[in-house]
Amino acid sequence: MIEPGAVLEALAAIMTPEILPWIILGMAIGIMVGAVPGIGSVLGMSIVLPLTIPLSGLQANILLVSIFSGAMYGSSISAILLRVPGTAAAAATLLDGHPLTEKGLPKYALAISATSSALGGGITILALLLLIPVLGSIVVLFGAPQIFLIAMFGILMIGVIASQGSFVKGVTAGLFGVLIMTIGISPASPGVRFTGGSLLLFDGLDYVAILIGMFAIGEMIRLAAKPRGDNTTIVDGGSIVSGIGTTARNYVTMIKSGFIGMIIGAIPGAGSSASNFFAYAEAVRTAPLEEQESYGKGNPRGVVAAEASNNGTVAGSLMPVIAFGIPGSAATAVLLGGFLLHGITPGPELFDENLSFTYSLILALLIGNIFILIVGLSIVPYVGAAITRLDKDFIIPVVVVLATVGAFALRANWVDIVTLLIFGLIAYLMYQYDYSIIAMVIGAVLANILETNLQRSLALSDGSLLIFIDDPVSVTIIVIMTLLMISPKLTAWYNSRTASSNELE
Amino acid sequence: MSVISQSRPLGLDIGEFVLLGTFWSFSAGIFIWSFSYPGFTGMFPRIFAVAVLIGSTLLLVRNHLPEFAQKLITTSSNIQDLSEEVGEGEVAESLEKAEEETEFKLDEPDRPLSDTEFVSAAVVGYFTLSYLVGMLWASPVFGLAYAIWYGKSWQYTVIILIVTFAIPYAFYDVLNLQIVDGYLHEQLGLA
Repeated sequence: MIEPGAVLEALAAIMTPEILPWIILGMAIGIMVGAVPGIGSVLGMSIVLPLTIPLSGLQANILLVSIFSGAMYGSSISAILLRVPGTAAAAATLLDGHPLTEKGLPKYALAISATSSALGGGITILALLLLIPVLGSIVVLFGAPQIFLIAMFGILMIGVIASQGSFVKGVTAGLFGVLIMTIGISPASPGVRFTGGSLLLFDGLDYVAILIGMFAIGEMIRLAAKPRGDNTTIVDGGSIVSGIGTTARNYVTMIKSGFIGMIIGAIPGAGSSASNFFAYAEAVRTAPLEEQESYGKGNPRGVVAAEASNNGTVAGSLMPVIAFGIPGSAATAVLLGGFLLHGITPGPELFDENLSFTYSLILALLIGNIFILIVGLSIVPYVGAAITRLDKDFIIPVVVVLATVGAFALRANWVDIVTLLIFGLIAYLMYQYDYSIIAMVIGAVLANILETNLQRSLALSDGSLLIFIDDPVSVTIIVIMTLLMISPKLTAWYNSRTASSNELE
Repeated sequence: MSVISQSRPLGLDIGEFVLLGTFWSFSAGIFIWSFSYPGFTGMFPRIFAVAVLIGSTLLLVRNHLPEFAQKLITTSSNIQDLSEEVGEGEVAESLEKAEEETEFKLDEPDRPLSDTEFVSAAVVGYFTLSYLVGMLWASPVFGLAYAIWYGKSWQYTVIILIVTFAIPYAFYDVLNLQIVDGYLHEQLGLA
């Protein structure tokens, strides 16, 4: 059962001048970074992460999670107005969002996007709030062997599921992420490794510097190759009130899409880039036959489905992070970085002594969705076009300087600057040749958890590997993870088999 | 870039060869070095080094393997493949079209380096200069170099100079971050 006392305590904590401005600031940054093609939540969170050092753990993580949520909505602005999604989370939004702009109804489309994002996000956040006690009761069943299995499978699954063309590439990238973090002092035993006697490497590489290098420097090198934005004039028109009415009339699509987003968000590697397509496809599939042809030509229900689902993804993707410290996406990897940077350990603690932190984070998102609704209906329809036109010639120098100074602020260690450069270049090459950057980052973030829990498990079992298969929870994890990893392949195989048997008939 | 990409070691682009070479040599080094550490301290990195070695070796030599092995290595099991069936193809087409349209609007002057090469080189230069003279002074120089390279207006140049100085200054002021001096200051006794 949900603990009303803890919820009220969390609500009282966030409705204070110490916390509330960080929600608003995070949402505002999120909307802006989401709206500018080429930035997005991950880059926004990465460059803000080192700036959170002077903040408290709650302030810092509320700021980060608000950027994450705000960017989901923000990415729809450029998709609707410019036909270029701010991030992949809004790729399905442009299918019907931009045709509405072409019809002279951008305000109408933006109002649908704001209401669907806020309501889809809000409903799934409420569901997450109700699920916290259930998650808490599951988490206590997990010991060191199960956490090791989940972390290991997390890396493998992201390597496999989010691999772009080759699962060997994905898995190798993920494991390389773990390997680079073995430099320096071992978290599981009193030993210092691979430093060559250098004191600068004694504490190893900083995963935050790796995150910033891969997501900020690598992304800026990549952005440099992209063409400069155009200055197409957007015809102003459409009714905001009609947009709200359209979302309200399509409440079934909105709620269903929100939950599709939530479920897909909880699967490592899938995330909002997949959920918006699944929700969109579901909307098309369930539409009456005569209506199906209107999708892709400005059907407002397409915008409702895509936008409700990508904001629903936020609630789903928080579940594995809060419960097990396993991020399922790049944005949640940065969020986990924020947890660890501020000494917050995911897992049972967040459901027990730190329960009010967990509820505060969730309630902050709920308030953030109200902010999306207000800003999305009152400001974005009037200034959205200006936000999306922030030029790469401004973004690149500013982000590079912010990322560099921010990384140096972590430990005032020049190793972090070298890390930034090396991993920025590695990320650029990985992007060029379809290697999963997310898998590598998640490998780096999870390395510590993996090593500590493997060492504990082997100590418990006197070195026997049977500890990983000798209880029902471990076996269940192995079965579920294996099914999740092979299910896309099985589905593809089943579909091709069905198609060929149909052809024969 | 075009001159470099003509050489294809092991049938791979030079960039991918460098990437996989980095994976391979790093994991091989860690594997050998791990034997210097006793017990679990050496065992954990050794396990992962072996796994990365196997993966990177397979990827490096994939073009010289039998067809079935190549297929196994390059096959994806991507959940997003499913989304292609539900419309991603349409979006990809739409995005490509949008990019093509934007590219048509480009009228960039010829420069000796591509944008990617310039930004990479500028970042390396910025980091080096930061080490030599301090990040507080190197940051606006980086902003200025960027503005000059792309022939930006003086208004843009002034704004970018102010912003790229204000960011490190804020860190210096708020966090007392030691970014005012660099290696040269130390050597010249100015620190």
